[in-house]
Amino acid sequence: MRKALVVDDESDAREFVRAILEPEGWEVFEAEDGKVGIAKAKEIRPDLAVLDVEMPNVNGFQVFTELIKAPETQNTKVIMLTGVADKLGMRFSADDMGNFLGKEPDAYVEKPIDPESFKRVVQDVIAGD
Amino acid sequence: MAIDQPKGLRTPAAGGSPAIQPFGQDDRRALRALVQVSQMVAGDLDLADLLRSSIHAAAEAMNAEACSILLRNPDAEELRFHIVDGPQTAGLASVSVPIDDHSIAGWVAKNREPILVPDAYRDARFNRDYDLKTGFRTRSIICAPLVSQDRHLGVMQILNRRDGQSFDEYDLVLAQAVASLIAVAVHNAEEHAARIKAERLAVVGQTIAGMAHCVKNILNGLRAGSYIIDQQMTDQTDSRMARGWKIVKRNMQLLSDIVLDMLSYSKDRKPLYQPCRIGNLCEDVVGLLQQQAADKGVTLVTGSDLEEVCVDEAGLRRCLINLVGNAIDACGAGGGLVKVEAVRADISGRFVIRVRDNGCGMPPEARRKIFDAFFSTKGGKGTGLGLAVTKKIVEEHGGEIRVESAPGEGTEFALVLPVGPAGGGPV
Repeated sequence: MRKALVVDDESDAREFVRAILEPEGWEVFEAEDGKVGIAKAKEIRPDLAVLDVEMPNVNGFQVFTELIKAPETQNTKVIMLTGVADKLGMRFSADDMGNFLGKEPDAYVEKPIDPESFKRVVQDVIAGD
Repeated sequence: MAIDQPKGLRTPAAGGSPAIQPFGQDDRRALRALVQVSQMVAGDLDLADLLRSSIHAAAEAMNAEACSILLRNPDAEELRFHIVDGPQTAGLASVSVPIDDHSIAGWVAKNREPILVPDAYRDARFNRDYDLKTGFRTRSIICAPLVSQDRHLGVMQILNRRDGQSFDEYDLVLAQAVASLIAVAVHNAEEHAARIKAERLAVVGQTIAGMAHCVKNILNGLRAGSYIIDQQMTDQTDSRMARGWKIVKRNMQLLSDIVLDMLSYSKDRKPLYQPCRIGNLCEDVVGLLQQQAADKGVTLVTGSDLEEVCVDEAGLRRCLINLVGNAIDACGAGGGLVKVEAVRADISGRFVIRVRDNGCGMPPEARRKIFDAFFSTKGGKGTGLGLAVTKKIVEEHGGEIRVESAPGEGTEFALVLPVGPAGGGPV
């Protein structure tokens, strides 16, 4: 069974991703903040990480940076959930984006999530393996 | 004579030095009135007080019985009595006067020329209805246009000299000078009001944009909850709970659409370009609005022969929800058909999404205004943001929106968009 890790400080948002992915045959794990998310990702080595961009303390881009650096998670596919309109939106500067070792997240999905479109994005990201 | 003087300007009696002409009593009174009006214009009076005081000063200087200021109504070719000063003026406030040749004020507004009418009842342009309305008897009139920086703002009228004489050219010159000052004051007040409004809208916009993250999380939570309930409700299509749930969902969708439109409109954004199959997107939107269409007896169809393009999917989704939602609303009860199709454009590197309905269509007046923010033909049901947002999102993609419509013949919107961002593939 494929594993997905949802890292979001909003429990409703984690529940949403779980409700979309579980019927599609995913085993879904949750983390309520970036730090827990990084630790859990190294432990379970998910096929897919769904990261909220804007979280307190350790944000989604910082989690992404850690995931691509760690050998356990460097093949994990990453979908960023953004509340703000664009990835270089109000609170993320080019500097935030600069440490990605030349890698980009595999996809961005804007909140509020549209379930059908989200399923397609997941399929595309995984098919791109 | 070196200085142009209006014909009939009262000069001191012959015999005085032609080079230095001492002011006569009328000149002093006129000068005093002009100084008074200039000071009022430069001061910080409220516009209505300023207009009332300044025209009153002018009327006094001309020894006139009555005066009025009519301002142009920007939404219609008409003037409206704004300030009326004098006896028997009741009933004129807010009365409108068409801009045409059938009244002195209308003629001046139309021709933008000041006039002196020595005997009103002998002038074909004079309209006696206003006298009939008030019981006032007009004899002599001076009427001057209020023009500032080429903007025509209204007219000023001075009626009847108290001494029973007709006004003369001298009074006309004074009236023109006062009218120019008043026009500047009206213009300044309008600009000030527009600036305040723009600043207020900017603050509202910033506030909304600042709340975007929080609001989107709330919408996401609502959608999460409803998705989970839907997964459990599949076997209860006709229960009371299912019917109630349908109402909750529909209204949640409406609220969500309004909020997302406001967020999109309030913030400058660059599209978040990602590969997207437009056909799937059209099907999603049609699926989302299927129930709303079915409730009105409207059929939705969609088709696409497009390959994958690179667009901001969430942005285009908003555009399509707005266009298809409007198309459904435009269709009368029963027999409505809305077609959504995506095709390659004739111009290379572009594609077109067309949303066509066979509904009521629009007259040209409405068509010209549909992209203005807060313009709506749906009364209390519309925010007037849907098409403004749609246009904004399309233009952020470097595309354009076209509309063809005629009353009774339906409407077609076409979004012509580049197949990817300028300068290459996904960013």
